[in-house]
Amino acid sequence: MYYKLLFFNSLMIGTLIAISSYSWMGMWMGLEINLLSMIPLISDNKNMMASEAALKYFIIQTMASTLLLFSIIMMSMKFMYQMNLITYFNLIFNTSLFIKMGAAPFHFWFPEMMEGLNWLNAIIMLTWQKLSPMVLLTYSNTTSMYLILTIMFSMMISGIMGLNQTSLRKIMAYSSINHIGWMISSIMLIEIVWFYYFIIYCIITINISIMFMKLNVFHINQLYISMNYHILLKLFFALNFMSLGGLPPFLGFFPKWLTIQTLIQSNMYSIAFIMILMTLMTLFFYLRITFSILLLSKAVLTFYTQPKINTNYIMAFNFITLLSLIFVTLMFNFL
Amino acid sequence: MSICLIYFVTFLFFSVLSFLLSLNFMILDYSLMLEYEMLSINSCSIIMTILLDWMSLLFMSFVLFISSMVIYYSEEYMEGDIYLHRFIMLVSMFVLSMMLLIISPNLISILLGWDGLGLVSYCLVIYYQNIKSYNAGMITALTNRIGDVALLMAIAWMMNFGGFNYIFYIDVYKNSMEMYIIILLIMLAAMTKSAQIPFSSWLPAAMAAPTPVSSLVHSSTLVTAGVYLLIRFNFALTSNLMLILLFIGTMTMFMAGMGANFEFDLKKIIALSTLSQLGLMISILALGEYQLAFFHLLTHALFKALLFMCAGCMIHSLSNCQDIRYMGGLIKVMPLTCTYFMISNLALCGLPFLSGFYSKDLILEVLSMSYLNIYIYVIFFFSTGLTVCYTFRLIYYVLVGNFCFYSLSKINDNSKIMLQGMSGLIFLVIVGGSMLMWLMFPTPYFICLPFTMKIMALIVSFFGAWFGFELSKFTLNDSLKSFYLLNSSLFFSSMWNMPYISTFGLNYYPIKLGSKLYKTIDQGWSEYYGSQNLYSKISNTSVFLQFMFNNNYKIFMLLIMMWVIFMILYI
Amino acid sequence: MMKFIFMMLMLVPLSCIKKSYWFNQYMYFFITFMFGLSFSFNYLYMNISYFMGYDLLSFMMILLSLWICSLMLLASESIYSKNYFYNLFLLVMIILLLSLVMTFSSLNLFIFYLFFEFSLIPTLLLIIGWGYQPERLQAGVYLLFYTLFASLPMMISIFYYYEKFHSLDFFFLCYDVKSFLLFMCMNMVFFIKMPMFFVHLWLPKAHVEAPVAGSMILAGVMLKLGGYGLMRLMNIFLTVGLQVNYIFITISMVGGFFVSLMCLRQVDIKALIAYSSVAHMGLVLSGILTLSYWGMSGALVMMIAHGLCSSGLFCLANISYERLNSRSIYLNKGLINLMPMMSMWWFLFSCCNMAAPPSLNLLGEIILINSLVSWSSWTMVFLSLMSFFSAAYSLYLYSYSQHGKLVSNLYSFSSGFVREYLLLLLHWLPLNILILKSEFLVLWL
Repeated sequence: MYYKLLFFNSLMIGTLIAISSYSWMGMWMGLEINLLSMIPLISDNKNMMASEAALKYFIIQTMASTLLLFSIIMMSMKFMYQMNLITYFNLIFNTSLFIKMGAAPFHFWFPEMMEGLNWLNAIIMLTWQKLSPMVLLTYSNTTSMYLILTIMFSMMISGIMGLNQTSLRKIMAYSSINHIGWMISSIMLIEIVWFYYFIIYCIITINISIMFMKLNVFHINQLYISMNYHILLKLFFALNFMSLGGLPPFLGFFPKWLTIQTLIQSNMYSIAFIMILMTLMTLFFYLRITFSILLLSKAVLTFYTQPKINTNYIMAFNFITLLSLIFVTLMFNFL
Repeated sequence: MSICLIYFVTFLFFSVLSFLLSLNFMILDYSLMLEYEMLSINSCSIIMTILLDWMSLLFMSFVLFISSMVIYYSEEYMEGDIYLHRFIMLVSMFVLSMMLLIISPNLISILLGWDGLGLVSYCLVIYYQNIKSYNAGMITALTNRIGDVALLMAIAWMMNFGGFNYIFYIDVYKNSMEMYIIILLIMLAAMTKSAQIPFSSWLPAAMAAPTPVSSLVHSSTLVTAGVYLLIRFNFALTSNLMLILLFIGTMTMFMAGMGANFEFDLKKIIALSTLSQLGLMISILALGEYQLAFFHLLTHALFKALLFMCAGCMIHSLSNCQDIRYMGGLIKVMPLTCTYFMISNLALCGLPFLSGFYSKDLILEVLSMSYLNIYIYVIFFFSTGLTVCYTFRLIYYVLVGNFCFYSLSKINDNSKIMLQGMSGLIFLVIVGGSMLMWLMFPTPYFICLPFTMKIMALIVSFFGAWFGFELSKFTLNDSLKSFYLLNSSLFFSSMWNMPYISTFGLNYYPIKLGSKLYKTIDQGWSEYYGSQNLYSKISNTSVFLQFMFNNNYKIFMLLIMMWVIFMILYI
Repeated sequence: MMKFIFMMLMLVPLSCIKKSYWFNQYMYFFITFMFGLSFSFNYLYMNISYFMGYDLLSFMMILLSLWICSLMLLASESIYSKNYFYNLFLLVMIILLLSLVMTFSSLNLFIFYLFFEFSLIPTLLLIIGWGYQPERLQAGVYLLFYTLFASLPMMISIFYYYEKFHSLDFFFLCYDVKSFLLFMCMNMVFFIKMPMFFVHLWLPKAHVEAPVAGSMILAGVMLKLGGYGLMRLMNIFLTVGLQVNYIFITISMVGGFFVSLMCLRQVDIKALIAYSSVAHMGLVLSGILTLSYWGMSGALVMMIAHGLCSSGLFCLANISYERLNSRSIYLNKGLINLMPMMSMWWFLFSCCNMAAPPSLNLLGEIILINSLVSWSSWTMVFLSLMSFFSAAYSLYLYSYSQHGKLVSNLYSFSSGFVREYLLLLLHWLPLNILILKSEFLVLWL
């Protein structure tokens, strides 16, 4: 299994190359390295689902990379500038990035694939793998109409589709699609807001997913019997979902606040309105996950020993994700 | 020392005190006004006002005297009741509310007494916990609430004058539209409290209360509150409103007088007689003689309280039987009680030189003097005749004749405390009228009438007495006269169907409407356009999209390729 | 202001100590009295520190929240005695209290909004965590989503306002915004929170399913957040308010009447009290929307009065519930013979609910009626109907719960603890004493 360490490193390197490269080709190369080192991380010869997911991931990402390469090459041609066709290829370029990050009209692979991953891989997929496409998007966000369309789609699809899911990984996938919508909107306007958004999104998602991993749960109903020995931990864990949904006192509200403010500053009222209302739907299914926790009354199973986890650091982490809104707000003054 | 005794002494002391004060104020023509400002918004103050003049002090002294006697009386009447303390407290609260009502010349602070009377009377009516008293309590409280609401609305209109101390404004703004609306609402309030015609049904129903309460409520306190309010407001009554009031008052008087002739419940007969006297007060008030109305209010309070107490004594002796058909010949077994009963009954009829005579006769003569149409004249005298009629019917049933209760019964005049309580009142029942006459009217009314009109009151009384005896003759073989005209008997005896109309006739609609609204608006359209429908729509969309996205991976890739190709083609 | 905030913050660790329930309760009262001592007879902003401070309006609302929260602990003794996560309960309570105090003491619209939203979450935890029936999940969702559905547009409009007028401080909140859209976006959340008729559906559900503490805080303070927000915001909607307020006043007036009728058809004691809240708050809403001095001050009086009164009624409902294990009006019968003292409290609170003197409800109703009738005399129709039917349903509640035959499944129970009498007294006393010096409820404008 040590080879996974190697590929994890190259995964990092790929992303770093992609986001720090000077040329489009370098970026493409970084993305390819990233993609190819993700495949072995996913694959698991004991699990058919993981292999399937790896294959799906490979196919779709290759296609996206091909499109990316195609658009890069086309854009670098001289006649593109002469005929002023650069925007059209920008569309294709953005499309490929959207496919890579799994934004809404191109999201089909994402929940399907997530279903086959273990939680560690899911964390990588949900957070790290979004990084490079998004950074690349910041370089080419000239077609705002297309971005807005994608934002709307991401919002609606994630809100509506997440509603009937019982698989936690799928829910996380749809939540990720929702957040992609928000992040794209912040990319459109101010990158530092995106930066904030991304970091905070990563913190919350990682926190939640690590808990899922520790508890080894994959479906909503499994949460009923987990963590019953530590009710406070359970409650804090539930509040993380509200943080993810962006309810005010929690950290998750902060990036949304910034994004909405930047949207309003740019006079984009109606999109802000729609984004917010659609996010309510995601909040609904987050809340449904937490119901089992918030009910407090617990079902104690006699013959089921629950995996006990080290609560201290998780509590500390929860503390950050829940209550750091004040500190982050203060920090914002110095950046 | 029992709680009854404590309250008796306290009330009696304050009664004497306020009576003496009243005399003092009357002589000096002095009135005292105390104000406590609660808040002032936009220079419009909400003030707790206390007005002490001879009128309020006199009324207070009467109320306190009667209530002290009633409380003393109830020590024996309510003997053995484990919630005697509750009862006495409630009665005291009731008296306190009445005090607050009497001394408040302010439309807001009068609410303190006004609402208090309604609510405490609810508590007292439901004191005996049975279905009948619950229903009676509900109809009492809700009818009184109509009056409260009218007062609240009157307060809102009062704001136009910049203050709620109505005594400052009723004269000055008499002709303004605002004052017209205010007085209309005040009239409504007074009509509900004094049980005038559309709102009469609660008064006989409230007889479900313990008899001491009835004695207090129906003599001097609750029902007279409306009259008292109108006395205070009489300067604002315009002539057409007075006509309406006169009409309503006479109708009530007539209706109640008729009803009492058909009733068999002892307390209800007395209650209806109260109602008829209230109609009399309202109608004389509507003729502009507010002092006469007040005079009659006070004398009526005295003899009606005693009447109820006597009735209570009888009911107590007859093991809570109230039906007069079971009574009869009581004069032989409880002579003293029956004497009191007789005296107060005759005072009610206006037998000369008893207290009722002074006010009632004066009212009738003032009426005869005034310039009115024949309807008013006839109905007044007819109602007076009816009063005597039902009184003699009552006397016939209760005092004379054969004893109709169980053959084995122990009825006697040994209830000492009750008799003491009644004896406290009997003196005032006899001399109260002449005393008040001398006090209140330093200049006597000038009455100048032809002999026939002067003697008219006497004539109708005699005819009434005769009819009362004749019509109610009831022996085993000879059926009751009123059965000959059964339908009209039923109509008159049921207060012109008012109890039915104001209960079954009214409460169906709001309750039905409530259910309809609950089902259609609240749980219907609001949910449909609010949450449930939205949720189901989104949920259905989700299922549909799930179906759409439950995809073939190849199709998805094909779609992306098509999108790209489409874009290239577009170029 | 900071001293109170810090005092509450320092209660957070205290609430985690075992068997510290009553000590916490004493501390709540202590905070209340300390806060009460800082009353200043001054209608300007006092005790300003950082973004917090209070004027008389805020002071009254904070005092109400502190008071109600103290009484909530007193009322939820069963959580402690049954050992049902009482430490967590204390934690949620202190967070709730903190959020409420912060909400009312914030001097900035955005901070207000932030803590306004914050207060939802502890309430949600209370309802879902300590509620009784499985329907509490639905109730919680209703509560959260009805509010959020309108509050998020409010956030947008707050930012918009900030972009246009560059300040969100209440003190500078005086630019006249002439936009109906903005009016709706800003105020809809308060209309829902109040709640206005048609968007009130969350309220009966949440009230019914919540534990006694949840019902108390919902009726006592949460509804008042809406009124408070409206009072602060009406400043900037004067022009548009004059044009459109009649719509909302009409809805509230007619709705208040309808809701009063619906109250007559409730079979659940708590649902009845909750619906009566809708009727009363409709009155408050219309009072605020008349934009008059009378309306505003009457609204505050009514809010305080209703907060204490309906909270007390919910306590009573809970006292019955703890003994009979039912909220049904058909089972809670004949209690006057079993709990005669409690029956007196039932009567007193029912009276206050129907605005009988000398309760603060009456004063509030009088002031509101004055403001509304002077706004339009046609409101008299619905005002009188509401006023009448408020008596009808209050008496219905009293009569059905206290009279009649006892239900046969009773087991022995206490007819009242001193704690309960104290609880009710502490509701009732301010309700009827405050009227003596009600001036400080109207001075804040």
